[in-house]
Amino acid sequence: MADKNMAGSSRTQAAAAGTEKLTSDKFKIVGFTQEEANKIDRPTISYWQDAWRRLRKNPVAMGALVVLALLVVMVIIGPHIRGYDYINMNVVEKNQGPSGKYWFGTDNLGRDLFSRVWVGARASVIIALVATALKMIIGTLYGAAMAHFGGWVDDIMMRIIEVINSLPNLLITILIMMILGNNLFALLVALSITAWCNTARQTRGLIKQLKESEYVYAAEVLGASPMRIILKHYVPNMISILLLDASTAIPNFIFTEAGLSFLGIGLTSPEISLGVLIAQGQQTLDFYPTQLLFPCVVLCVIVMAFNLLGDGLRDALDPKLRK
Amino acid sequence: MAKYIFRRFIEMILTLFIIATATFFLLEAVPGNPLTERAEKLPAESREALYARYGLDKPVMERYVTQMNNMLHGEFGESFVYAGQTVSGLLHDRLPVSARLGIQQMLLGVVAGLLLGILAALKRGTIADYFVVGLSVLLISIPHLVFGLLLQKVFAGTLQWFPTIGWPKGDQLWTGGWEYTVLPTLTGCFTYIATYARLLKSSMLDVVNQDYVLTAESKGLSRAAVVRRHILRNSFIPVMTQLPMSVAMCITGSFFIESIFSIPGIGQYYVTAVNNQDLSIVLGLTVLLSLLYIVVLFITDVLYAVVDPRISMPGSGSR
Amino acid sequence: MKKKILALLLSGVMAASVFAGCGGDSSSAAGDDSSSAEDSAAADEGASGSAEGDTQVLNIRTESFGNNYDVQDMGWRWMMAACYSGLYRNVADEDGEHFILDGAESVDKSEDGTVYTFHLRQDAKWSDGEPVTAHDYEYGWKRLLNPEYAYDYANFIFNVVGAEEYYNGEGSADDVKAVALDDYTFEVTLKEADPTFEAKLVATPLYPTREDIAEAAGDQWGKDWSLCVYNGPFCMTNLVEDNEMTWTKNEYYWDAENTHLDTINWYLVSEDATAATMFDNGELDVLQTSGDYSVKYQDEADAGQIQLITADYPGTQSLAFDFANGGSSGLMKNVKIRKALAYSLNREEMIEAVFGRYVPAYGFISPAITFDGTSYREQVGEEPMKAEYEEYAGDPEKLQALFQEGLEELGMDTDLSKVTVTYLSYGSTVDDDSFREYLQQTWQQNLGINVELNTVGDYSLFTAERDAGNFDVYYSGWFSDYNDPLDYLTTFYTGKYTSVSGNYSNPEYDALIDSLQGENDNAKRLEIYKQAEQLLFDDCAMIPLYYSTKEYFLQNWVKDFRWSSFGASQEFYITYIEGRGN
Repeated sequence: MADKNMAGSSRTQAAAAGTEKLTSDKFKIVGFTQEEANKIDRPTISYWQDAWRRLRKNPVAMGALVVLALLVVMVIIGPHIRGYDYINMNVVEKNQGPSGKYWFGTDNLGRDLFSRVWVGARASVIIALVATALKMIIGTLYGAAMAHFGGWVDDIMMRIIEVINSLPNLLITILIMMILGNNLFALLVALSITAWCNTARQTRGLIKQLKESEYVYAAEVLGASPMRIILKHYVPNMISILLLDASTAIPNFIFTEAGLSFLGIGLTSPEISLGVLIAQGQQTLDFYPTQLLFPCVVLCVIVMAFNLLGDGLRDALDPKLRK
Repeated sequence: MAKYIFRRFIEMILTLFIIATATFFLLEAVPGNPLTERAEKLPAESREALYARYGLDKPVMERYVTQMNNMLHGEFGESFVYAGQTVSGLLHDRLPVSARLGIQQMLLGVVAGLLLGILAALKRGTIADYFVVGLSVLLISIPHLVFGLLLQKVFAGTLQWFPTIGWPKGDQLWTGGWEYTVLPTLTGCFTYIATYARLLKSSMLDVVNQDYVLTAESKGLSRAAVVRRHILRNSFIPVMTQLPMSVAMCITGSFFIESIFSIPGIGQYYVTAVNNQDLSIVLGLTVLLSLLYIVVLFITDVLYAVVDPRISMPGSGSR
Repeated sequence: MKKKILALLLSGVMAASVFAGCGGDSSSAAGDDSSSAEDSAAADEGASGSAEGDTQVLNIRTESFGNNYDVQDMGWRWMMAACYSGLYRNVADEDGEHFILDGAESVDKSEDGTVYTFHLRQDAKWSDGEPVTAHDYEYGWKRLLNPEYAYDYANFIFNVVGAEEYYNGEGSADDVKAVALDDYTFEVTLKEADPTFEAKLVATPLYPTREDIAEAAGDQWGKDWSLCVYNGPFCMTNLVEDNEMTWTKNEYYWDAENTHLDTINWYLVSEDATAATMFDNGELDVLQTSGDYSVKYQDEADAGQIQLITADYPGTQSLAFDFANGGSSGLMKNVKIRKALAYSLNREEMIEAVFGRYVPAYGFISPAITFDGTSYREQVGEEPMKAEYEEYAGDPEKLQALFQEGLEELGMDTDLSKVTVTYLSYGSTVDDDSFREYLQQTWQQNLGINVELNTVGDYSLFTAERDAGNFDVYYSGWFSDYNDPLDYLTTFYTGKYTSVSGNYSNPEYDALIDSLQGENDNAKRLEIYKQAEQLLFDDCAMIPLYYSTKEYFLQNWVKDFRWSSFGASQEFYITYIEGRGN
């Protein structure tokens, strides 16, 4: 990895040098001492500062970030903007289209869809975040254990992953919901039970690779404490990969949850998520298309923003893509 | 090579055994049993007789051993719910339907997805790129059911180009009755388009920055040649990894599509069976579907080993 | 090995002979399997108007198939009533509900009303060409009573001499006085005259069954349709579980001349939207739907573009209380609390908001039930819950006071905000969800209590939760099996249908029902029925929600469609297609 960057930079220098004629007045003596020669003029930039700098230069990713920030704000205050209750029904005003009073219209029990969409989005995002956290924690711990122990422990743990991966997803999901009942806890289990496998595999591969890598070896030889090696080498190297994993996992969880609500799995009324709203809206599609449209649009925007931000992060965090 | 294949084979058997066991006990853990609805209205004695007839009166472990033993002999038993329905009968009647649907979806989706992925990677940062990204996000974030119903509404309802529901049968099972397959195939292929477009795009971007691409460029190869010979060829590895997963999932993954278009496939039946806790059917189908997945995975692994010398034979390796 | 092959051959021959009556010609067996593509192609052809004359094919939607072909078990009523036939057929048309003679040509009734002699049609045949004889009826009836099979509906004929004894293992089949006098005369002797007896004859448990076929099928009888023979207007000739089903005209049906339809295709379509598209395209000829679609098609029917048939249906949806344990809150034992829950629902508003159709219910017995020729509801006057309901209706303070009185009687804290009532239900359609939330909202708003929703995925999980007692109230209902108020009232008899009654038990009520036995005077019966129903509401044994109705939308080219409350929900035995595409 390191060689490549050097090769790249030396090449650009060479290209620049070839164009002009060199005269002595183009040179200036800057000092002779060993100390001066080794001095680093430009400030050191940490990996994270560098990544952030590169992310900032990416307009699409920044746009996605702004949209996400807006979404977070809306998810928090959205339900309260219009001051309508999202649960209490008002049968007189059912199935209304969008209007000044109800920006997104009302649902079949006369409840303000605008408020409901944001309440639903809140649930969806929270579910996705928690499921992602679960996936990350279980996945890294499991993967680290595999890499650490190796040998037959690794073999057995790998086999378990294989079994989980070969079982049809739908089967596991439905069975879990049948066993644990229809509730938030069961939904989280169902969502993350297969998802962590990938993280575990990635972590395992990564740690194995790091263990063998020269700079970790060098650090060990130089007498760095295990703590320092973990903090300075393992964590930064892994965190970028895990961050990417998370940024794709969040939108995945959001639409998986939406898909499950069509099977009647997941949150039960009166709890709502975007998936529940879409599932409800779909059934009256022919008559009140806006009841499907608005939750769908919000879902798409959230998923799209996370995806674009993920792409941007990937570019920013991956030194190979440095321009 | 022979030793490697043998070892993998033993592992496969072991995995299948664990899968069957896990499925059995998961199903057992679900409250109630497949006969609840039928037994509910019967008096106590005949309820016992009914349970005895299906062997449900015996302790769990005994049933587990019997079931495993039967499965070793290739017998999965009969459905608890639909008399005379067996796993092999189901496979005979329904597998071809799901297989055709799955294959059509996959072919169309993978090809279209890969083309879009190439487009997005080559035109990075242009309108075309954002179009592809936007499209793929849109395609995965709208649920199948909504998509299917919209297509149905427009193409079968308003335009009347295609029949609303149904699937070719009899002689046409594999090759005829295309008009029936258009809408379901379209509905299902979107997931593949989205997945493969994104996958290929990101893996191409990885490859673009590799040294050998640089070398090829500095050698003075034309852009087209670089893309074809170096970038594409190497960026297909993650695609190859994803494909077996898709092949295995294409059979059961079409549950909603089968349901909207009334297609007598295996996906819909599978979900019904799980909901009915139809143990023998669920167990049989699960083992066979898992087998399919494992075998496809195995074949790709062997192919990998043959194609790519860097992958060493024995380990399952990191990805 | 040889034996196996022989058995296979035999079963093949049998299957062939079974279908002989259904196909019309020998090539049709292949035709049935070949494709739905063909069927719909035929429909398309019709729609374009190029066909000369109309193909007698009817396409219809259903949301679920049954999987029980045993007539004695009454597992799949609407399929059985079309593919089988009994002594009588129950049909409804513009003139209302009535019996017509089907398997019986004429009936003699003794003066005291205890002996019925049925003279059977000699031209009635099974789909394999064998005649339908009185022995088939005798076998069917005795099979129904056989304690070994423990059929649910055996009690339909407990009034037959020797029947109950046989069922309870105290007598033998030979002593049951339902006997074939000769091949075409079937005689039944009752213990005492029973005015509801004839009404029960249309129910499938009293249909004939072929002894040879049933015994040969053994365990698989009623489970595997390909083993069945049919004596109704149609035969089942193809079934793909969860997908589609085909009925073909039974050439051996005694009235095959007047049966016009050659084929009826049933499509299992789960989404209302899909069904609506198909109906609009003419891919479906008959449609049952709900919610907004129902409203839409009602308008189209008003404009004459399609036909609409609405009919009362003998079903009442209700909420059942936990009488066994008093519910998870322990409150359901108190009648005032039950009443407060029952009276705080505005049924008109609920129907308007949630279902879009149906009739609000303030009683238990459906308006579709007739007694002595006219509607029971009309004869007994005001619905039993109405008067007291109106005292409280729309007055939260009064309702809360009633609830608090109940709490006091139980010696509990009268703080309503500390009360939690659990509602158990399953299902995830918009209607299910809306109703659940409507109920929760209404009770919370009107009574100031907390309502917890215990929602499970499917029926078996529902029963598991119910049996575990994790509820106060659950969604329930009763669909009547025969046309008499008694069928409704029996459900609340101690221990009879606990899933409907929630284990309700009241000796006074049981005594009333018992007193009906042998009561032949219709006026007195009516009085007892009325008292019994009133007692249920004085006790608030359940919360009635709405009476079911049936709604069929037909294309204009569907003629002579019939329906029925107690037999097949829809009757096609004289239906025909004329002018498809006009």
